[in-house]
Amino acid sequence: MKTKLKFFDFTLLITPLLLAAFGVVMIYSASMVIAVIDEKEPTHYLFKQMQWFTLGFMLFIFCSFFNYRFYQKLMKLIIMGLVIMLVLVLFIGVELNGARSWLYIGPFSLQPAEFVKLGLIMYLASIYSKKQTYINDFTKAVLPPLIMTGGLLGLVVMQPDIGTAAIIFLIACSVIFSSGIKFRHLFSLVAVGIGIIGLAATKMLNAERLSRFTGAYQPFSAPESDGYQLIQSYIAIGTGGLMGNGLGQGVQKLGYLTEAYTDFIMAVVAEELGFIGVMVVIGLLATIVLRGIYISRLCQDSFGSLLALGISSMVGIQTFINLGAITGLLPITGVPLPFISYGGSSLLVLMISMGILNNIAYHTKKQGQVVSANNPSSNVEYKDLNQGRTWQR
Amino acid sequence: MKRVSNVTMRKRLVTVFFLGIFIFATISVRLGYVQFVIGDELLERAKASWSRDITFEPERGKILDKNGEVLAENVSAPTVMVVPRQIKEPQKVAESLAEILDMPVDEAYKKITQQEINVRLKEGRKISEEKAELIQTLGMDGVYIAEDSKRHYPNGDYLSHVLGFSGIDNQGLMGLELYYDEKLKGEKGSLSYFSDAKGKRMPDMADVYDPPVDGNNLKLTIDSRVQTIIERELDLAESKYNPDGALAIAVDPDTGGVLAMSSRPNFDPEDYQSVDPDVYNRNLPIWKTYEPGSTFKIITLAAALEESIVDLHEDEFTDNGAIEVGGATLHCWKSGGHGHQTFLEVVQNSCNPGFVSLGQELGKEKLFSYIDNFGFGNKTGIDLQGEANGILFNLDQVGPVELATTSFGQGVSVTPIQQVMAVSAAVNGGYLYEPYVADEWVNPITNEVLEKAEPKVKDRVISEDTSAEIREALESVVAKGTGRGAYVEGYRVGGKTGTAQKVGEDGKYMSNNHIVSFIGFAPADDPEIVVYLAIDNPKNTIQFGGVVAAPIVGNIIGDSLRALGVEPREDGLEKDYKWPDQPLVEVPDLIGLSKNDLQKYLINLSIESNGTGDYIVDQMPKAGVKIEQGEEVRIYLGDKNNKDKREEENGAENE
Repeated sequence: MKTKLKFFDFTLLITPLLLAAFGVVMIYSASMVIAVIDEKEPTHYLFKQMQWFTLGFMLFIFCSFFNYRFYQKLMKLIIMGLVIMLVLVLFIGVELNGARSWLYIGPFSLQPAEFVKLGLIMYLASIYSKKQTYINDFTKAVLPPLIMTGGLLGLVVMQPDIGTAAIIFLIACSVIFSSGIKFRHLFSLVAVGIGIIGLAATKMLNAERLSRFTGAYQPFSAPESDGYQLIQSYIAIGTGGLMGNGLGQGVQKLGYLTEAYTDFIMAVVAEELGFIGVMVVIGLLATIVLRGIYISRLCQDSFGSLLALGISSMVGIQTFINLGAITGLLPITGVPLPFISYGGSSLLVLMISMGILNNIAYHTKKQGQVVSANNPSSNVEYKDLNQGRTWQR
Repeated sequence: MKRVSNVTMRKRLVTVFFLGIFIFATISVRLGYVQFVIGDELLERAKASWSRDITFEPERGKILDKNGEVLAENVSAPTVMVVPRQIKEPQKVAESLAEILDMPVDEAYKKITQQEINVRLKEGRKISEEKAELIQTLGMDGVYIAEDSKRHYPNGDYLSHVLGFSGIDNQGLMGLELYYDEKLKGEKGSLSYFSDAKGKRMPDMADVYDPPVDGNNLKLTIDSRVQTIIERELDLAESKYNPDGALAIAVDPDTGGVLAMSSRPNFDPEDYQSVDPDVYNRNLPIWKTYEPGSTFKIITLAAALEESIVDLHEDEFTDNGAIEVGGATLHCWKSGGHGHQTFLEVVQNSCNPGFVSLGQELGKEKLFSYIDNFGFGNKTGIDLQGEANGILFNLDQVGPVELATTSFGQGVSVTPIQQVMAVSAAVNGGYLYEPYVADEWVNPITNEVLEKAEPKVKDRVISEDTSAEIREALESVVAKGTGRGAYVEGYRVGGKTGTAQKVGEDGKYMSNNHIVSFIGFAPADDPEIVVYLAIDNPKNTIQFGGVVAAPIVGNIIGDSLRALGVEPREDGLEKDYKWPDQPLVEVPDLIGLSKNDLQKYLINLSIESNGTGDYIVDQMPKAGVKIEQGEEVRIYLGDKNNKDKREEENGAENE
């Protein structure tokens, strides 16, 4: 056991747990007043998130030990499960905030779209690693997975959950980009993707969705409506200053900041813990993302490499879109902040992903250990590069 | 195990790694920007968004006369307030309110269904007691009558142009209410408490109470006793002469403080919407500019005396009824002229050629520099809105004709207040004051005087000696000359008549349409009051300042000085009882009588004789014509049989 443990990446083990635990605390701070206003117990959201965290922690541990290569064998099953969930949600899903995104299974409510993120990463990683040898052949290697991606995306868009769809699209782009396909193919893919999105946008875009854009870029032109959330977010961030007003001392969560414990939780963090608190959170998230990419770079196995990359991208992209929205860089699309925002499905998917990432790191390290044991003079990274080169057929 | 195959893929991963760093850096910079660069501004917005203010309206300062008499105050006024959440039948309530408050139903409906805690209707503000009662009897849920305060002017249209009025928010809109709005209105107070978005108070934030600061009370130089007299006299004049307009000002010549000021047409400040804006926008005593006519001769006289170019008693002048100036003939107001007179008589008779000669002696530079020094052509600086400048000839364009007409008050355009201040300077020893209305600012609670206006001398224009001579000359105008209507027993009134021609729309002087005026002061030994009165186009009368305006000013001065408690004088000039104030008399037929027979006919008429001889050969006016007592009858003497009539040409209109 002790020898096994030493192959784990402790940074990646500790950081997600720190973030999730911190998220639970912030959710309590941000949600207690709103819970009371909604005539619930002040601890309502705290306890629910703690339950999810407990479940997530168990899955995290499990996945950390569960050999990631096995997912490739489960691929068909996973895809089928996702499609069934996505179709189900369109029919028996519960509508919330204008989107039919929720499946109630007993006492649990799940967002299938969250699981699609991870499922699709696995799928793309699996298929592109299989096709590594003829990755430059567009019709044989590049195109088929895109059809699957398009199908899943379409189902998410139909809910409609544009925010999640956008993230899924970006994650897919990231994985495909990293898979090493030709730039020529990549560009034409991006062009086609943007074309499809543009077409969908003109169909889907109505005044309400458009107003989110004006809300993001001229919030003070409509302070009571479209600009309201962003202004309240600005105020929360602006009043925080360097050190913040102290944990629990925020004012903006008292009904001014809608979604204080979900999408706008970072505004509460900024108000209560200041720039320093925010930078710690961003630092931890960046650690996971960059460490994940680093692992992906080290990983000898192309499936593991792309999987790690996809997971890292998922965290990074969600972080960027969420923080971009609360700081007015991007339109507000309802994307939760990884680990911190309230939300069971999101946390479960992230904890599972972190487990997988840890497992990849474990195997990578173990592999590297073996390699460096064979050739002690070289360090792991150079070895990888050399091996990569010599491995070419 | 599929191995990482491709160098491209490794390179791409490095790219993604740096892209990740870039993205996190971007987000951090943006957060820092929001937090630190625009943070303070956001904090201000946050405070505004968190705080709920309950405003406390300050009491607007009262306006009082110099004796503390209330001229403008505040009374409570009912205001409709609606609490939308409590309304059960919005449609019915909207219809009722719309009916009573005279507003469209759909607008009322929109208002009372707003998502607000309480709503005020614009039409429901400061409504009448009757409407308020009507609303209350309907007993609608969620509709309340709240008390608001509104401006009240207890004396109605009294002093209205000076006081002005304030609007629905108690904001000054006109007159003193506007001019001193900042000081009268006070400062709003507020109770700010911090609350969450649902309006609940935030526990850890302290309430902030800013008490309202009431506006200060304004004490005027206006003396309501004098103002009352002036209002009364203008009302009488209005009903008697049905003029196009009228105005009067009374000023304390020793301070420049305005004692009274009034205009006709008039308005009620509480109902200002019901009159033409021109009525309330035009405070005639400071707004109206016109040719002053003979009252302006006082300035020419002052200049001539100060420059020692005339001795009123020693120097003499012969008026032939007209004077030739620069190729033009300027007539005296009196046909045939005043004949041979001392310059004192020139003043008494308001003889135009006599003043033209004074103007010529002075020369245009001197005369115009005096006009300028006396304050004409510039605003006096009175603390009221809407003062006019007046218009003078440009010195470069003044030729002999302009110099001549200016010296008897034609061709210049001045405001009444300029004349009053100039004449005040002429009779008070030469001090040109800046007129003012606001005398003191008083703390409404402690009655402590916070600010007191000091009389402001703008210029010393003539010497005390010259001033004394002017007073003497003008007293004789009232006692013996054209201004005798203004004579008040015991108060030594001095003054000067004016009959100004008006320029019609065609640019020519209008006939039978004059502004008749009189400027008077008393007592002549130490003037306490200067009164100017002008009546625009009086009907059914001879349009002469001496006939219409002088008696009114006499009444005003007499009553005012008694009201002010000024001691009567004993050493004044006796009124020349050749001109008692009596009803019109018929001119008798004098033709053919001898000079000696005249005595018994002419008890109440004055005689001016022309020519030589023992018998009266002709007369003006003709026998049977009714004239004012004291008016002159001109007789022509000659031999008994000489009955040639002498044709009279019409003289200049100017008195």
